Amino acid sequence: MNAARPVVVAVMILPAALIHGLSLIIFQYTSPFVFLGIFSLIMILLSDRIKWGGILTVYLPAAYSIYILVVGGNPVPFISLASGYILAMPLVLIISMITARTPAALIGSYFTAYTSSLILYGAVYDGYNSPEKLFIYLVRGLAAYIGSAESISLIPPENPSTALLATPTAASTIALIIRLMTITKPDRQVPEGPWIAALIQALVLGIPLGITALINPSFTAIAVLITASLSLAFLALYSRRRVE
Amino acid sequence: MLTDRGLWSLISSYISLVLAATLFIYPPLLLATFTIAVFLTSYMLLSHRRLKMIRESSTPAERDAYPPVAAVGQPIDVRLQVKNETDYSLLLSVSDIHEGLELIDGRDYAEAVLASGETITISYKLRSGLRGEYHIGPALVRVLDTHRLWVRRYHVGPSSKVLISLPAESWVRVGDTGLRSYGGFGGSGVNPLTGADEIFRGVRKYEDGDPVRRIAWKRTARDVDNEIYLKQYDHYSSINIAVLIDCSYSMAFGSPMLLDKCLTAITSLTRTFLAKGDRVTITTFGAEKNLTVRSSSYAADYPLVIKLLSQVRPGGPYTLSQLAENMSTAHLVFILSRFAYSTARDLAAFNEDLKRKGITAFLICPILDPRDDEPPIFKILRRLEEARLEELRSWVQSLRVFSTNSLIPNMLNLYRTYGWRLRTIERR
Repeated sequence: MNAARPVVVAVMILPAALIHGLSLIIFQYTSPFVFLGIFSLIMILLSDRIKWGGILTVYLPAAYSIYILVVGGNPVPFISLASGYILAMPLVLIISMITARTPAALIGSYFTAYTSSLILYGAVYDGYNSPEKLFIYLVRGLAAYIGSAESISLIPPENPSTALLATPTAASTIALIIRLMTITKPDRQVPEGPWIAALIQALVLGIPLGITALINPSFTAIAVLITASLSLAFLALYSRRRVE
Repeated sequence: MLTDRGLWSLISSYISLVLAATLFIYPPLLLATFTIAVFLTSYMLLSHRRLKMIRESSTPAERDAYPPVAAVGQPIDVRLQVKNETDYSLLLSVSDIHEGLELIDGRDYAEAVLASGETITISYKLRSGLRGEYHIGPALVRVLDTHRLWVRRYHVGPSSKVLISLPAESWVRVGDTGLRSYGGFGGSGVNPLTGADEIFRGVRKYEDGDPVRRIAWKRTARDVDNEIYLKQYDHYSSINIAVLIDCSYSMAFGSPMLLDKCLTAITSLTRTFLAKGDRVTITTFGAEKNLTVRSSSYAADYPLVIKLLSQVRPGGPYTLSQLAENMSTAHLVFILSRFAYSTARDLAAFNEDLKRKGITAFLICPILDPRDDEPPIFKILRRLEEARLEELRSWVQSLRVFSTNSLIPNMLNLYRTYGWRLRTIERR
């Protein structure tokens, strides 16, 4: 299993990495501060291990860009740095997914990495592909969230084509489940839990919903919610039954 | 049931699903979150089905707790063993329950993978700062699935009883109090053979129908007129005595504890009262589990009184209004308490209520005897306690304050003085 672990992890991060890679390819890096921003945010994860690393790579560039903004009146470094942070967010979440130690953290980081990549992809492919535009997109999105601006939100205006990501997502889902079931192991061998049977059940239940997504996409979300709610209700009722 | 880990996994998967179905509607992501959520749900269902097959008898437990009778503060060694008697390995988490006892060494829980036939052992030390009977166990066993998402919990093994009693150095003094109450000092003690209820009055001439066993043979033999004489007795009726004792935390201080000293005194007095033919009802209030012991026979009931009183554990506060219910049928009522949870006004109202109901009740506040070597803080506390008692006595003049060393003779005096008045006399 140890040899297969890098493959499983690679497949698991594939969709988020793919979408984010597409965003990074067409993004226009007009300022080196964008790279500095990306590097800074990634270094936050390593600040525990590298002493002073956090201060040097996070606070110093931030302080310098603010200094230029205030003293020199040049907002470009500040905005570029912020854009770098935004671009690095999915990367940070992908790293969190790889280093997650609990099932909840793994699921949470998988979902947030995927959705943040989607949001970024939507923004970049909708024309917000320079540091300044991406920053404005974020500010306007937050303003809309607060409710004081015209209608724009963080929901991606543009999505990658379903055909592009369907196969990687299916593979990554199975890889995620394998990772969930191998994230912690007791020191000694115990009989495996019934996860293969559970995976088959989940896939079998997913087939009609997949067909629904192809035939009638607008009905997919409600069908998914109903099916998942029923399975959760069944779990609650079944596990409350008195053990003989 | 779900473990914390399982619960958070389920929550995060369903939150992801709901967000994917409402905010970020992208079919591959939607189906991915659906698959993950349903997978976790199915996994938990199947784990539940699998774990519920495991019976309590599959993991029997054995516990040793030594010593079974310990002094206050004395360590008790506990060793718990749980064996896996299934045919396969189990991921087990075992923890022992010891409510009211303080863990002072070792760990009272363990988690391990047990192969078939293997045993998990936990050893630890406990102690209690308070008297009473305590239970250790039953052990809580949790059988976890491989990924710690689902757990089956059950209790196994018998619980062990541990009695926390007076420290050994005070046992001699307990014996002394028993002798003092049962010996010549105690009770109305007139006739040790027939009991307090029959006192020799004189002799009279025999009449037809008189019991032969009452014939005064010596007096008859001495007489020259060939008359038969009969011994006459005054038969005093027995009385019902109720003893209400405060077992709240307000009595749980000192070494030995004030509560221990009071219970010892009550036990000794009960022995005397029962030996004299009276009936005694002991009621605790403020204990963790209050009890009422009714006893009318020394031989049959006294061992039970000792046993039950040794098990009393101090508990929470009480209200005086609850007490009146336990004394309605008693001729004589002793209430031992520091009345720490009552104001002087409440106590006065309670006392008036007793008088109005015609109950002969003695409110007794026991205090510990001062010691020469006690720290200065104790002296300050003692002065505060004296001031509080003065306040109570200014409202309730009949409140009696007895030191623990004089508790038995003082209560015996009250018993003799007032009990005598309550008895009816029948000449036999």
